[in-house]
Amino acid sequence: MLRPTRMKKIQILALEGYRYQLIKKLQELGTVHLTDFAEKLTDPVLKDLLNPHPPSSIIRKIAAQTISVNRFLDLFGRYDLEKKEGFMKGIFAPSPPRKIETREIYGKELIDHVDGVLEKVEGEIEDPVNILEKIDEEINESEKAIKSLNLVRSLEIDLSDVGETEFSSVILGIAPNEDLEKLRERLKDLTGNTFYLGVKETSDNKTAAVLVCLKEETVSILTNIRRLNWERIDIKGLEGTPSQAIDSTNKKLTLLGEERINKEVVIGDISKKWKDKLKICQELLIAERQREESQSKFASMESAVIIEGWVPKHMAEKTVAEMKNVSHNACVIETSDPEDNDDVPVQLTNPKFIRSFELLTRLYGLPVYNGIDPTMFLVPGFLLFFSIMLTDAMYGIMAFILGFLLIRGGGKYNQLIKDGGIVFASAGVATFVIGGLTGGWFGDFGLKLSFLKAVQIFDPMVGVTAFLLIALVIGLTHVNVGVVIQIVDNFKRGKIQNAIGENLWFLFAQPGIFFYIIGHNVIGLIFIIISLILLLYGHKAMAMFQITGYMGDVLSYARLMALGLCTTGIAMTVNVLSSMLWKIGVIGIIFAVIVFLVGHIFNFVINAMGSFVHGLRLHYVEFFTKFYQSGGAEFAPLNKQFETLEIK
Amino acid sequence: MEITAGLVLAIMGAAVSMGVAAISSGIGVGLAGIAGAGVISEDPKKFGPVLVLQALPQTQGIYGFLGAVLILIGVGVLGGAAKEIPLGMGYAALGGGIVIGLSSITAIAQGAIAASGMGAVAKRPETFGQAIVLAVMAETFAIFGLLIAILIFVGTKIMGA
Repeated sequence: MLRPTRMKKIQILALEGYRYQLIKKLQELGTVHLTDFAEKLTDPVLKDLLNPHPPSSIIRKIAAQTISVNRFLDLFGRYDLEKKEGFMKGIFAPSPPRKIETREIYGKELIDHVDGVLEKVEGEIEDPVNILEKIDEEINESEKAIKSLNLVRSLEIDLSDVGETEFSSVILGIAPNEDLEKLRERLKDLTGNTFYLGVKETSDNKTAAVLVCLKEETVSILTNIRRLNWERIDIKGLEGTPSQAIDSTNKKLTLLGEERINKEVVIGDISKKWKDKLKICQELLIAERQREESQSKFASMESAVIIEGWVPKHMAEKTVAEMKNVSHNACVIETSDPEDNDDVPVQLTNPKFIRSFELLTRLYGLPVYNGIDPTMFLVPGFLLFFSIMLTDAMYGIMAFILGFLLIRGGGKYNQLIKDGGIVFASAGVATFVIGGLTGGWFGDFGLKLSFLKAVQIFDPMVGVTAFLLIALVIGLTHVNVGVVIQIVDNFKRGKIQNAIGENLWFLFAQPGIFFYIIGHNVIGLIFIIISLILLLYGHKAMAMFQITGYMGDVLSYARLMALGLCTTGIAMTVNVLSSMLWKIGVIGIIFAVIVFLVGHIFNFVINAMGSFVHGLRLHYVEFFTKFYQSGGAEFAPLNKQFETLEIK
Repeated sequence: MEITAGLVLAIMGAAVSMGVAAISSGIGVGLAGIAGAGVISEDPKKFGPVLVLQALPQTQGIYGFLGAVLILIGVGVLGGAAKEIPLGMGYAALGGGIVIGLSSITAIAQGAIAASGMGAVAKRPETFGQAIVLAVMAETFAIFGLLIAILIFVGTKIMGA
């Protein structure tokens, strides 16, 4: 709770022959975070004895198979006729995840099995996919042709005349109206007047034209007239007038479209048949790949393999027993406590309710192994700050409902959504309490009901200065808690100098100032002098910045009051606006209700977000900086987690 | 309602509070939005974090709004009872409005930070929380500005019982 899970270093020396079974068992247990031996092998002593473990020989095969499987699953995904679940539905009312039953396949059997499946799928799907691609190509070409045909629609020629004969070329094109004269002139020059240009004006100041010229002059003419903004329209293999061609091409498109749908259905059927089997292959391959890849972290010594890692203290005994079991005792296993400079992975352990708030700690960064897990301190602080900044009981109820819906909806299958829901719901409850005590029920709207008014013990809009003082006192307390945690932690770790020099001066300064103010000058001065001595001892030249730093820290908590007032103020504004509209008659009443609802929802969203962010920020910047060391690496054990498979 | 010089000054205070805050928040949110459009052009799935980061510089605008409303309610223009506004109180309200307006200029910096934060999130989605904290740091002094304004209003009886 106060610290990350205690870990033990585990070292296994076993016969190489048992390597696969050992890894597989480790994967099933999910308790060991493997460390990479490569770093240790730079040590001269070890370098003589050990070699890095040779990488797996089948990993490339597995990678290739994975690529093929993923490719097919992607293809199926595109033609999948099942509807995907919408985003909102996924969060609030997800359907239970589908589980596919299978027996466990691994090792060589898995490789062969996957090869078999891939072969069969490839056989069935190759033809339909190829035909589909051809159809798409044809559709593309037809659509392009229709576009071109539309440009020259007005020309009344037979398209089968377009192209080359033995001596002449017939070319279609488009030119802007203003360039037409120049075009004729240029063509006269180029061909000695041996050409024909038939024109028909089209829309937007362009003219469609058919050009007939000598075949041998075609290339030079085209290069030339392109500079006069002549745009060639390339149409091949069509008959009839452009309008007729457009019709026939449209008919062709319709037929192609139908054929396409047919082929899609075919692929859809194949997808249904093979999708599950491919998913099984995909996930089993992932597990196998993890096993094979972990080998590169080991060291080897002739016919032995050496595995090193971290295991949580309470799982150490069981893990050792299972390892010995799997290798028929042909191994030597040692567990030891971590040393000071070891980079131990971090796993947070907290009781159930507090565990949901771990995501707030993770947002900042995991603690180092020897540091403190701040989550349990974060919970009361965050709930208090959030509720003070969102001082409204009705908003608290809204937050609670939102959290509840998340827990009951997406939270059933997704731990992150469930945690988020618990955070919201508990924040909502806290806000309900504080909101009720400060008389916030949609601002001052609810105070019309006398029993709600009776519960109000403090009006933040009236007792503004008092509210500010309360916020600063809360801030001072919070900072002191942070300081105390730091001092106690450092004492426990034996860092006496840190414990005394860093922040202890602050704990003496406060009673010093207090006694001085209330008149006990002598006692006050004694405390202040002790505090100054500690301050100079711990910080020397930077002492001044410590004082200003602490002042800034405490003042920062004034935002509790500012944001709390902000919520109340805007809620009041919404109420004032609504009441003004209400007086205007029937239309006014409708608008008044709309303004009321929209305004309060807007206020809720903006200020809930603000309270959340600032509540966290106060913890991260004013609280954590006193004692928290982040930067720990996550405990990531070799673990077998199947998304959709259920092993029978 | 009688239009006295005091009332006019107070209304100007409300105008400065909301007006300058609106400009600052607008620029800040605009800076963030420009970066946001770039992020979602690469990966539309990041719209959620982008939107949250873009919303952060908006709070200064809300403080400006709150300040203006507190002044207007306090001098009786909005909802509350009409009062006789002496010249001094008008100046005080103007001062409160100015402090909120000026301190809201931090929204421009906050928008720039949020824009960079979006770049961080685009590259490494796990830095989302840290990007939010970075942006929120710029808001500290806008909050102090709001605080001073509230203290001014309370002290000169514009606000409070």
